[in-house]
Amino acid sequence: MTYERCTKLGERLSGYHDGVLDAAARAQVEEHLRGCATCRARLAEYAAVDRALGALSAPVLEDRLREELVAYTRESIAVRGRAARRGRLRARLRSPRTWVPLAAAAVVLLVVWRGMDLYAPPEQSLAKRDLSKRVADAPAHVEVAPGKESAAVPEPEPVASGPAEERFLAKKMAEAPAEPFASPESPPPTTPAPSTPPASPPLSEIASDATQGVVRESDQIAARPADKDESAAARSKVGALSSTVPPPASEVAPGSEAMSQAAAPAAPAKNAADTQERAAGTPQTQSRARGVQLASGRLDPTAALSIATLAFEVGDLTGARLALGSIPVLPADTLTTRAAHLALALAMRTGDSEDCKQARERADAITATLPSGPTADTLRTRRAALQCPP
Amino acid sequence: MGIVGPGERKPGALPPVLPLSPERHAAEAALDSAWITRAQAGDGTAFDALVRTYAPLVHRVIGRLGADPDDCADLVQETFLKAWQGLARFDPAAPFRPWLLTIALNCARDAGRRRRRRPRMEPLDEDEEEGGGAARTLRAPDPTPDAIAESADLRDRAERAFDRLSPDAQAVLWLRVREDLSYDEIAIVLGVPRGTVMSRLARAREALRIHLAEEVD
Repeated sequence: MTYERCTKLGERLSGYHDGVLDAAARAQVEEHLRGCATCRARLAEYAAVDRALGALSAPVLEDRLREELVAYTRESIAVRGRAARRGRLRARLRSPRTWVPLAAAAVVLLVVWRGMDLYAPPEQSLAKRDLSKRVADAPAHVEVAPGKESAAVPEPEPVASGPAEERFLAKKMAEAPAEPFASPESPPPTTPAPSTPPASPPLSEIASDATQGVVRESDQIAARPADKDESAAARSKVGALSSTVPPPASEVAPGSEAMSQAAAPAAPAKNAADTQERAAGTPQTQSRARGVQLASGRLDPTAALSIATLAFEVGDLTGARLALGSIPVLPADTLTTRAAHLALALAMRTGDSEDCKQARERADAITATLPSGPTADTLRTRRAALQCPP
Repeated sequence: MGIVGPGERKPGALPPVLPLSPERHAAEAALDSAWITRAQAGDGTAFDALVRTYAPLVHRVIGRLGADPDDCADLVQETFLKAWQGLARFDPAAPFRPWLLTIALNCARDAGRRRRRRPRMEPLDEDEEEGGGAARTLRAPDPTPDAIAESADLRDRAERAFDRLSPDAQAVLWLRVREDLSYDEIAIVLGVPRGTVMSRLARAREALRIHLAEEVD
């Protein structure tokens, strides 16, 4: 199909098609379109181009391969961490089936030979580490940064059955400082979240070191510091959701003055997350969420989503679960989609069968209603990533 | 059925729930930043979750836009390792997806150089076919509700037309239409200004339109 080219709009027509033009530019384009059949036809052609692009086949990553990738990444990170630190080993990336056992053996031998370093077998569970203590002592940087941990960190126990070298190394480990994330291990899928919820890591510490302003420090300590922490953390992370926190909260149960206190400072400075308070804040959040729910019977769904997200952020999984219960599964819209994502994240954290069931229900309901697209794809992907007890 | 383009309105169909807007990824962004923060603190399960969630995306993009299909699995692995290494410097509040895809495409590009493949410049027909054909073996066709013959025909024509595009054109079109990245995200991934993204998209759409029209002959 050929037609004369009208060049008046140029690339703006493509921008219009993608919905990225501002109001003024959009009005200009529409004005032109009213009078130009050529450009109207081209706009229709863009839709056909999109359909053709939609027909292209896409590489599919099977679940099995994806899980191997996850496991392999874990092990490679462990090895690479040690390699980068020593500055001598060069980890080569090839097929994990042949590489991993060979390299693991090679690393063990190399390390024994050099008489330094610790070997952390991949089977160890992170849950065995005292996460909160370690993080409290020194923020653990992803990159290799080992050795800042206090010696008081309890060492993960080595795998029982191993060559003599491993036991030797295990002994060495007891003396040497622990390497953060040295032995990433995927806890069995059915294991609930580690005893020290990783949500506890003090955001203030991480903020001051690794991030720029995710959680900003403030000197103001409110009457309920735990709630402030949650507000701050949730607000900085949840972005658009945060604006919905104050008004719904004020409608909510009268008995929950904690909630209104937390919600009241809608705009104000984001407060520091005090580690101890944060860890102690969990029971407070739980009772707050429960109190709110019990008193009001049913939360406004928007408020419920804010609370659920907030609770999830601080590790109050029970509170998150409770609040999620107030959000309907359908109709499929922004709110319920976010709820579905949160439910999936919750189920992934807890591994609880009821959480999984809820999460699956939400994901299925939405993907059944939505047209195919990235939104549905993401939901499907995350749903597939769920590993739950049967 | 294929992808509903953002400018397209099918009568009776639900509009995309989360169209091209900053709100679209709010939920995912919130969860991602939570995961990222925990991963930065050393939580292995959090990084696993990130890998699990984003592996299909990285795999698709590298498989489709990368040069060498044999390297695909390795490149995906390499991408996540590099992401891990760079994670300490990453602001959890920043969008994760474009950052990750930048790493992915850089890996693919470096791998292409390492292998000393023919430089990807003008689309010579026979070279395009080799590249496109080899990459195609990786893919499983998406199921479509349309009549099999009709959809297969469209897919074949689309594949041929798409393969004739330059790598830059393929990249912007795939990222915008199939992966639903915003202009700003694409700008980050490709390392170009936003305006360049718009002009590349316009040119790419035009080129694909022409190739598709020529397919009919």
